[in-house]
Amino acid sequence: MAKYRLTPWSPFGQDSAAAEIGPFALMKPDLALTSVAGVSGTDVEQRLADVLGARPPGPGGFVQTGNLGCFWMGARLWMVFGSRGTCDDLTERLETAMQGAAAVVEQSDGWVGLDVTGQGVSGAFERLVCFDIHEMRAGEVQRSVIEHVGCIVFCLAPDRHMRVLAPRSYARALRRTLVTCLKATLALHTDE
Amino acid sequence: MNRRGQGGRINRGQPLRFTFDGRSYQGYDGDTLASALLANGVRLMGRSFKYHRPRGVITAGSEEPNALVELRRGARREPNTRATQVELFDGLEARSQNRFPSLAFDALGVNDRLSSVLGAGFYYKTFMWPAAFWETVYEPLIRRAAGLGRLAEAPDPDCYDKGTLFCDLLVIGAGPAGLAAALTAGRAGARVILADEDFEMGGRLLAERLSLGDARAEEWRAATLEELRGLTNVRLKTRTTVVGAYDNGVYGALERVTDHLAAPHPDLPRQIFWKIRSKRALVCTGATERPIAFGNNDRPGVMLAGALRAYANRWAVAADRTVAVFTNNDDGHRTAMDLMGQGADVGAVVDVREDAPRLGDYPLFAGAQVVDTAGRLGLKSITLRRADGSTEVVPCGALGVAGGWNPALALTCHQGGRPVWRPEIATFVPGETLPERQLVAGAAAGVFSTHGAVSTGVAATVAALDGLGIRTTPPDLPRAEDAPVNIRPFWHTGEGRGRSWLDLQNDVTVKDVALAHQEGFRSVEHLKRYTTLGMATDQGKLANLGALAVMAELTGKSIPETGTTTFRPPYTPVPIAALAGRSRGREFRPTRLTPGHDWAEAQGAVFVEAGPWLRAQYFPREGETHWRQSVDREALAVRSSVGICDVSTLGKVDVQGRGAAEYLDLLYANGMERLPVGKCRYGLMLREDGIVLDDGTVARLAEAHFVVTTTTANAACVYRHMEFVRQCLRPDLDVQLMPVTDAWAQVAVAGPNARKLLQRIVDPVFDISNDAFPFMACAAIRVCGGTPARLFRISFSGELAYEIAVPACYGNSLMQVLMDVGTDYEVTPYGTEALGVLRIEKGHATASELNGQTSATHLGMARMVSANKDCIGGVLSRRPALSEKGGFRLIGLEAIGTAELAAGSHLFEDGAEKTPAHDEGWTTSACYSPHLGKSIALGFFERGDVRWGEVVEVANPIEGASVRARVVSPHFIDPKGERLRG
Amino acid sequence: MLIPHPLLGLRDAAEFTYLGDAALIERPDWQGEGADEAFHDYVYLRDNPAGAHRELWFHEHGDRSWLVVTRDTRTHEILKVELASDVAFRREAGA
Repeated sequence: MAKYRLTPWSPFGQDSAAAEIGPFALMKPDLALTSVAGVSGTDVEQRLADVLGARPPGPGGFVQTGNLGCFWMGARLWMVFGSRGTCDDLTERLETAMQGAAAVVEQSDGWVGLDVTGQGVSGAFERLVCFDIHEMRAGEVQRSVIEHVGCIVFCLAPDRHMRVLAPRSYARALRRTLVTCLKATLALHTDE
Repeated sequence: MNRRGQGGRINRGQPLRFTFDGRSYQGYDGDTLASALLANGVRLMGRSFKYHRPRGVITAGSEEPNALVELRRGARREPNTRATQVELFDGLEARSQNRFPSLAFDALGVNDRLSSVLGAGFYYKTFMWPAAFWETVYEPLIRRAAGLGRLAEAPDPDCYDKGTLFCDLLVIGAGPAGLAAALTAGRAGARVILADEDFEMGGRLLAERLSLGDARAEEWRAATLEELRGLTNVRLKTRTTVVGAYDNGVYGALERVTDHLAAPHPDLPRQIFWKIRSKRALVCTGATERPIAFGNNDRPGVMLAGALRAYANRWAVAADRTVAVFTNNDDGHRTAMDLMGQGADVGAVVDVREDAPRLGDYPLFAGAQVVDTAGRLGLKSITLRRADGSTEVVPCGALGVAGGWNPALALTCHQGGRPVWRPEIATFVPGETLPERQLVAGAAAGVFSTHGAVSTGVAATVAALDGLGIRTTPPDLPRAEDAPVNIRPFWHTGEGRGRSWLDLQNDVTVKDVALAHQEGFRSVEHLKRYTTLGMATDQGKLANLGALAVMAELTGKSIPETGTTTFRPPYTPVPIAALAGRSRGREFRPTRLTPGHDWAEAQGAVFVEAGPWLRAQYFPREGETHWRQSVDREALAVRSSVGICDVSTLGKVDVQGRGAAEYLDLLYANGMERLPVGKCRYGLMLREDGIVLDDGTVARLAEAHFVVTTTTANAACVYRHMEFVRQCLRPDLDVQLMPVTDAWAQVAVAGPNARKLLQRIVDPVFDISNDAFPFMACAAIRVCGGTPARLFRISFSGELAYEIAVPACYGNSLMQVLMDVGTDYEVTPYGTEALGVLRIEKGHATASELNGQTSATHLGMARMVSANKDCIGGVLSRRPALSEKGGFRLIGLEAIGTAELAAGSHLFEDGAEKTPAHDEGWTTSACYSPHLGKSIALGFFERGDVRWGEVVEVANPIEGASVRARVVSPHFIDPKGERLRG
Repeated sequence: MLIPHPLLGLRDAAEFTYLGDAALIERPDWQGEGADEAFHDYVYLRDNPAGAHRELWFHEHGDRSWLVVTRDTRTHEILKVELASDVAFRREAGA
C-alpha cells in the first residue's frame, strides 16, 4: 500500500523521559486526550456522563472510571483522557456521543505528561507551583504555571504521586525544571 | 589576644579557623564573624563610607551599620555583609572594605580632615566649575572614592530558588513572644510557620540572663523548640528573614540556605525567596536598641549596651577588660551587671538621670553625660561631664551606649501605615492601621518585659486563631521578669569638639542635621534626602529616631509632629538573584521546540531564537562557509523546484460553533462570514484603534468549524484577544475556541514541484490536482497510508505552495518522509532566513511591517477593511490620519549597485539634508535577493504608491552608510500571482 | 496579589494578565450616531478613580475566563469579582 509511513516521535526525542533522583522518579504516562467544549443550552453534561459512566466533574476535580478520566478546564469545558492503546478512538467516540452538542477537539499530541512519584514530592512542588500543594487531595486537579509554563497538575496520591501536563513544545524545558527541583529537594532534605 | 570567658552558647568542642584581612584566627561553632573577631581582640573592622573613619562592630544583629565585610572569592565574592550575621565556618575568608591600602592605614582617611567642606549636601555646591572638569576630573575621582564595597564583576555561579508556603498563622520572630505564640497555635492544631532571621531560635533569650519560671530561660526555650519540632503542623524556618508585608496577608521571606556551609551540596540553591500566604500573621520581631549621639561616639569599642551584654552572654566575649556604660534608662545598668558577672571591670556607669538607680557595685555617675572619647583605632578612654560641669577621663576599651529601645515595626508599616509615639516609653510603636489580618506582640508592640512578651504573644495568638474558628487553650505561662520601662528621653549631648554621629553608615552627624535645618530642608523627607541619613543598607535603623529628635528640637515641634519617613520592603537587603530564582541565563524563559526539531538538528541546522522558540535558521551544507551561501541556495531551490520548511510555531486556534462565522466576521477586518467550506482566506486583524494587530489565515473545514492561524510572536496575545471578543463582546454567540498550536506539526511545501511532491504522500483517494484543489483550498485528508492530516493551499513565498499539518508526534517523521520521496526533485529544507528572503521578494508583510504603527491603508490593504460590517478597529481605521491619501505606503526598494540596504534606514530625496524635516520614510525589512541579484528592501514611504521609479537615499547614519535605491512595487516576484494559481 | 475567582477560589495574580478598565466591555455601536467620537472615547479615554475601580483580568494560566474585578486602588482591597461574560450578558439585556 503506502510506500512511506509516518512514525511517531517522542517530545523528548531519543532520550527517555524517565529519571530517578533519590526516592523520586519521573515517568511519562502515555495519554490520549480530547477536549469537549459544550454549547450552551444543550445536554452536554448528560452526554458526557453517558460516555464516562459518571457525572463530569466541577472546578478542581477529576474523575476516573474504568480506563477513562475527565477533568474540568473551564465553563462547560472538559478534557477527557485515557491510556493510549486503549483509547485511540477517544475523539471519534466523543464526536459520536456529542452529535453537535459540543466542539470536540483531538488534544493527545498537544500535551506532554510527566508523573512525579516518591514520598515527599510535595516538598518539591512547594517550589514549583503557586497554590497550596499540601492541601491537594487525590482526585484534585489545578491549572497553574510552573516557571512560566502553563501546566495542569493532578494529585493522584497526596505527597506521593503528582502528574503534570504541559503543552508539548515545553516538554524538555519542563523536564529540566522538574529534575533540577527534585535534586534540590533531595539535597535540602538530606541537610535536615 | 583572647577575650573569651566562661559559658556562652558556643561549642568549644568544634574550633574553627578563619581569616580576616589575611590574618588567621580561631573561633568556635556558634560564633558569628563579629563575636569571633571580638574574642580575638579585633575591634577595628572597617572604615566608614565618606570620611573613612576607623570603625568597629556596634550591634549584635542585622541592624549593624559599621562592620560590613567582603566574603568569598572569585565570582562568589560579595560585599557589604554584616559581620554580625555571618555564621562562622571552618575556612571562612573575610576582608574589610573601603580602605586602601589597609584597615590600619587608610589613605582616604584624609577625607576626615576635610569634613568642614564635605558636609551634608556638599556635592550640590561643588564640582561645577570649570564645566569641562566634570567628565575628565571630578567624575572619575568621585567614582574611585565613592561606593561601598566592590562587586565580583563576574556572573553569579550560585543558583537560587523561589517557592510558595501556606499557613494559618505566620509567626515572625522566634523570641519569647514568638515561641509562646507558635506553641499556643501549634498545640491548637493550626498550620504554623515560625520564621527567624537568626540561625538559632530564641531572640533575646539567647542574649540575656533571664529566668522563666523556676528554670533558666534556656531550658524553657529548648523544651519549647523540642515540642514544636515534634508537631507536624508546625514549620520552623531559621536563617529566614521576613522582609516584606504585602497585600492579602502575603509575606516575602528570604531563606539563606548555604551561606554558612564551607562546601555546600552542588544541588542546593544558595538562597530561597518564599512567598508566604498566611491567613493571620503575628509580628514578634522584638526591638532594636538605639544609641545616644556625643562627641566622637563612633570609635571602635563604642557599642550598644545590649550588644555588649549579648556578646558576653551568648558568645562569652568580654569586649575589653575595662568597660563603661552610658545610659538614659535602667536597661543600661543590666549591661554593667552582666559584664561584671563575666569578670570585666566596670569603670563607670554614666546615667543622664539625676535619680538614676544603683543596681550593683559599680561607679555610678548620676546626672552626667559622656561628651568625648579617645583612641583613634580603638577606644582608650571616655570623657564624662558631671551635672556641675566638671569633667573626668575614665580609661576603658569598650563603652556600651543605651539610648532606649525601638520596636522593630517595619512590617506593620509596609502598607502605608504610620507608627505612633508613646511618650511614656519614649518610642514609636505600631499604629492603629495594620496590614490586613496582622497582629503584633512583645517588644515589637512596645511591650518590653519578658513576661509581657510571652503573655501578649499568647493573647494575640488566641485572638488570631479565634478569627479563624480555631479554639485554643493558652499554655501555662512561666513567671518572668516584668520590669517597667524607666527612661528619660535623651538624644545627644550638644556642641562639643568632636562630631556627634547619627548615621554611622552614611557618615551623617548632628551638625549635618542642623545644616539641613539651616538651609530649609526641615521635613523628615527632605532631611533624609538632603543628608542621606537613613538611606544606606541599614536604612537608618539606629539613626532615624535620633535625627528626627534633633530636627524636632530645632524646629520646636514634638517628635510625633515631626513624624517618620516611609517604611518600605525589603527590611534587609535581598539579592536580585533571589528574586529571579531559576529564571536566569538560558532558563530565563522556557525554550519551546517544534515537532521537527530533532530532525533539523540531525541535518545540522543552525537555530535562531524566535521568542521562546528555537527555529531552524538555515541548513548549511558541506563546503558552505558563510550563511549567505546556504540561504541563497535554499531560496533559489524553492523557486526552481521545491523546498520544505517547519512552520509549526505559528499560532493555531480551533474555532467551532453555529456562531463561529459571525464571530470571525467581527474579529477580522475582511469578510469571513461567507467564506465557503473548503476554502482559506488571508485574514487581517486590527486593534480597536485601527492599527493592524496581526495577520494570518482562516480555513473553513466545515460549516461550523474553522482553523485560524496567527503569527508566531502574537499567538498568545491574539488568543487572549479572541477570548476577550468571545466572552466580553459577544457572549451571546455559540462559539468554542481551543488553542491547538502544540497539537499540530505544520510544514510549508513550496515551489513549482510542490504539488507533485505532495501527491506522493497524500492518500490516493484525495484529489489535490489544480482543478480539485485550487489556490486557497483546504481540507482534512490522510497521508502515508491513513495518518490524519490537514492540507491548506496557501503561499507565503509567492510560489505554488501548501501547508500540511499532521499531529505533532508525526512532525519529525514527516520532514524525513518528504525528503525521501522528493530526492528526484532535489527537495531542499529551508529555514527562517530563506523564508524571509522569499516573503520579502513576494512583498508579504510580517511583524516588521505590522509594527504597531501601521494601518491597512499604509500596507496597501485598505480595501480589505470592509465598510459593510462591524469589525474590531473598523471605525477608527477610517480616521483621516490612518487612511489619508498623502500618507505612508508600503513600497519596495532595489539597491543601485552592489551596496546592501539595511532595515531601519530612513528615506530621503536624493541629495537632501539628513534631518527629521526631510525624513520621508523608513525601511522595515531587507535582504539580498538571489533571484534579482541585488539587495532589496520593503519600507514605508510618503505617498509611496504614486512614486515608483524615484531614486532615493536609504540612509543609515548610525553606521555611517547611505545607499541609493529605486522605489518599486513591493511585489518583486510574480506581481500578478500567476505562480500561485498554477 | 490574590484574586478570588468565582469558581476556583483565591488564586495568585501570577496566573492572570491584566487588560484594563472594564469599560472595554461597553463597545459602541459602529453604526450609531457619533460613532467616531464614541469609539475615540472608548479607546483613549479613562477615568482614574482613587477608590473602587472595575477592571478586566484574564485567567491565562487557569480556566481562561475573563473576570471583572472591582478593586480599591487606594487600599488594594478586592470588593467584588464577576465573570466578565455575566457582566457582558447583563449589558446586552439592559441595552
